[in-house]
Amino acid sequence: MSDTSLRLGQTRPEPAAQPRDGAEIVLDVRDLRVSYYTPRGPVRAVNGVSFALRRGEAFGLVGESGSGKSTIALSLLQLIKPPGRIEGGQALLDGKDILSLSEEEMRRLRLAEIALITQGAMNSLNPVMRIRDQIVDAWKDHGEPVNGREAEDRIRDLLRWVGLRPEVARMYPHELSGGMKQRAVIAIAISMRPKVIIADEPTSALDVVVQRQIMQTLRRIQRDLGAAVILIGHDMGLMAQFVDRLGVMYAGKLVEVSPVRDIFKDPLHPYTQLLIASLPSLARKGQLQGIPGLPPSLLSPPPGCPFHPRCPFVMERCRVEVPPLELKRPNRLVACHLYERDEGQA
Amino acid sequence: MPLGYLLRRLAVFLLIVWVAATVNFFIPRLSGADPVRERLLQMAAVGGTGTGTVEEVIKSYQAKFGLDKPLWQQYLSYLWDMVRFDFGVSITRFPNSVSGMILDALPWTLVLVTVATLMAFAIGSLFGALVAWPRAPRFIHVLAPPLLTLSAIPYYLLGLILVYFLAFTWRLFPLGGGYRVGSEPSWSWAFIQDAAYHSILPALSIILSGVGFWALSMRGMMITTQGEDYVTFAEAKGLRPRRIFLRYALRNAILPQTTALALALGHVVSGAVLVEIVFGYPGVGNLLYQAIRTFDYPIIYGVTFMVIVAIGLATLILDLLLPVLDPRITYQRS
Amino acid sequence: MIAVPVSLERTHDRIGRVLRGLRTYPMLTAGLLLIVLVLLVSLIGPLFVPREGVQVGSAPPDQRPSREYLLGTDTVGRQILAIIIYGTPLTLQIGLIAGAIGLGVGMVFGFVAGYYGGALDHLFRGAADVFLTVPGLLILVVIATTFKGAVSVMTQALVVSALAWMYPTRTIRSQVLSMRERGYVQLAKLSGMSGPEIIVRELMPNLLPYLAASFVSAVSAAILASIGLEALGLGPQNEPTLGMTIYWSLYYTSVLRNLWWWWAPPIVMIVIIFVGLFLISAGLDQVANPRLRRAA
Repeated sequence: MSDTSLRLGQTRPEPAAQPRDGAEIVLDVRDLRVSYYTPRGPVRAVNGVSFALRRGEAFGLVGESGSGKSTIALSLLQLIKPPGRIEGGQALLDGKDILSLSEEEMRRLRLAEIALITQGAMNSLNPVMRIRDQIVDAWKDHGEPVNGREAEDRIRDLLRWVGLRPEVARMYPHELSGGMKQRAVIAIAISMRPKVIIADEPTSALDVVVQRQIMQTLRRIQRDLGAAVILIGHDMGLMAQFVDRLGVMYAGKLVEVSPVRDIFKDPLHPYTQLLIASLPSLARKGQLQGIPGLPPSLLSPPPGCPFHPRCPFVMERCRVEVPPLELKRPNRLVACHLYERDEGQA
Repeated sequence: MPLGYLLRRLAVFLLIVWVAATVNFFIPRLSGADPVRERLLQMAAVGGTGTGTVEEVIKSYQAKFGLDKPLWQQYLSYLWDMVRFDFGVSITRFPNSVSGMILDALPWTLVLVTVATLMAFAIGSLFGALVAWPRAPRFIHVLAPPLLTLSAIPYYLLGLILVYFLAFTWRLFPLGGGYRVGSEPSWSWAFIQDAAYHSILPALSIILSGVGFWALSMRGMMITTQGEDYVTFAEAKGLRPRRIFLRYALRNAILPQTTALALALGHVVSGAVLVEIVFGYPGVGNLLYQAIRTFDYPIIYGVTFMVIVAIGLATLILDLLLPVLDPRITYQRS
Repeated sequence: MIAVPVSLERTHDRIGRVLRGLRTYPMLTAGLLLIVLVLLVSLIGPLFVPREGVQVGSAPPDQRPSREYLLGTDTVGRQILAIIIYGTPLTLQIGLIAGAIGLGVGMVFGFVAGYYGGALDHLFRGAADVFLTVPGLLILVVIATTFKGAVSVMTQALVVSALAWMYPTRTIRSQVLSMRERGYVQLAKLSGMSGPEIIVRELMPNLLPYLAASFVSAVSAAILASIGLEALGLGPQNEPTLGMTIYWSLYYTSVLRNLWWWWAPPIVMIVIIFVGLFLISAGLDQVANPRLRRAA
């Protein structure tokens, strides 16, 4: 559970952009399945996704629009609404399956242990409440009512931590710039020192300069808190700079999970290769390369590997058999028939 | 609140009043002849009114409007009269001044309409908000269809039904009027009680019919609000459902709902006028009805103008209330 | 495979699609059914009930409903059943004509205001707001009392349409505003299409559900206004419209005299019409805005 005393501003002596293999797992997602029931049938937005998040790690989740990334974020907080439904799977937060909790139990965990920074944080703040009230009401509803002097101090420290002046507390959201609003949202998200922070496209609507500042703030805070962060987005460049490990999603499945440097140096899955090749680069001038073909319909996905219609290395086997996400090299998970399982690793 | 906003709203109010007065002036004259004059001539032919001779009426009318003067002069003097709320005298009940008659009737209408509308708005909005909230108790959803159906019935027709069942068949309420026949209006407690008792049915027709309308409108606003990112974020913060409902969803949905109230006032008043007729309630609605039957034009125009002014005023008040509810408004051009 | 004539197959598909569509929108279907019911009464009724029944003195006065006079008669000897059957279409007529005019004007104002913006926008939108604030009924009263006696069904429709254009204008304008910045509109502009062309060919087809909903609400408002006017006695004097019937029933104090069969049938008819229109409009809202549909 969260500390009642916020020791703000102190840097934790936890280092390392790269989690040690032995670092304990704080969130273990196993075979998560989420579908949306549309009038035309069920859409499998998340089709059996598993990954493990280590304490203090920054894990990136990247993919095209509609690949299921945001759905994963919402399901981890049990915020999926009809016509969507969590069909199966587990999400073990420190060993406890949060997908099986009742609504009230889950409510108590939200923000306190696992926090979400929603997409489009521009609109995540209540337009008719002051910033300070939006910070404090979470404390109240989590059984930590704070009044008077103590509240003011805590709020001020929190704002300072995310790089906002104390005057912001009395302001309304429309008085803040985009970047400031984003910082306010981050402040709320970390206000109870959660173990896991899920940031869903936290910087998409901002210009590049502000983007960088926000990401730096986020990384600093993450280190200070020792929290694990799942960063969701579609900007590979941003991922390269800020995450330790990267998961690539395609059509509701994870196709590759590896340390971020490895993915950029040596992408294994054909989709990842095409993604990286399509990145505009100052070094390699010439035609912009896209990925041929169209994203698959999640209503009636193709049999076998979901990527096979667009894969340059497609084999007969790919059309029939779904490749599992497995350890093919040390520390590298890939879902592709091109690679043999690495027998040397457990 | 900034002066600019206040001035802009005042300007709109004055514009509405001016348009109303102008419309009131020109439409009657569109028919080619001055209706009041026609009416007076008509009466002269028939042989006079109930009170006062036709000559007297015509004389006062001449003095007032100077029928030989050019149109624009008549218009100006008309506007000047409107500003002073001088609507002339009643034709059928000469020499009672129209403004005097309106003044007698206005409080009845004001109290009835204001109280009933506010109650309908408050109850309806709360009900509509609950209908839209997935975690509302069951009975809300059960009550919804009948109330929504009621909203499709015009106020006064609902009034008719209520009168028949509750006043005529089961004598629970008086059949009509503002107070017991024979008693004199006064400020005594007994009279006020009596008046209140007589206004229950008219108020009920307005409330029952209005609740459905406001509930529906609020439901739509709530559905939109619930889809907003800040509600999702509020849930992600782990806030209690009641807090999210009241301070995040309802608090924001009430804003366009209040604007809708401002726009619906014209409709509300129209309906209330007709309700008064059904119940014989001594408000401006009834005054208008009698005037229509006897073609007492000065009263018709006077009532129309007064009602428009009243609505304009109410709209102005609501407009000024909005920045209090929505901190964004003071800073934007509305 | 048996070869089925192509035209027959397509009709089958179309029917199937329509039926499925109806099932997805129960409110729309219910509303349409009610209106169809009303139309049936107006169309089939005259086959069974002679028109003379609406005339004064065609039957003994103040008769309770009986086998001979199914809905009874009023104080001046008119038969209520005939009044309902011949009066309902009149009310519908007024509503449709005024609603159509209201929608037409609303479309012109709304599209122009939303698309061109600027001064035109302020003008049309301001006009709509002012007219909405004003209690329409009273303006109608002023108009109607001026032209007393010359009121036919057509005139009534024209008068009432003066109040039916405001909501369509507002709705269409706000929709156009949000559509104006969309990609395909920008494309059309770039490809050289003129303003009116864009409005007709790009914007209008996409607004069909909203236009339909606006039409229905314009009709509803028109009928409401016309019944209100008639209840005051300002409707077509010699036509048995539903509103006039209520006026006469109030005039002859039918409530106190317990002549319930006089005022109840018109009210029932009016309620059916309004509920039907209301359901249709709610259903159309669901078509236009998927979020309002109940989750599958």
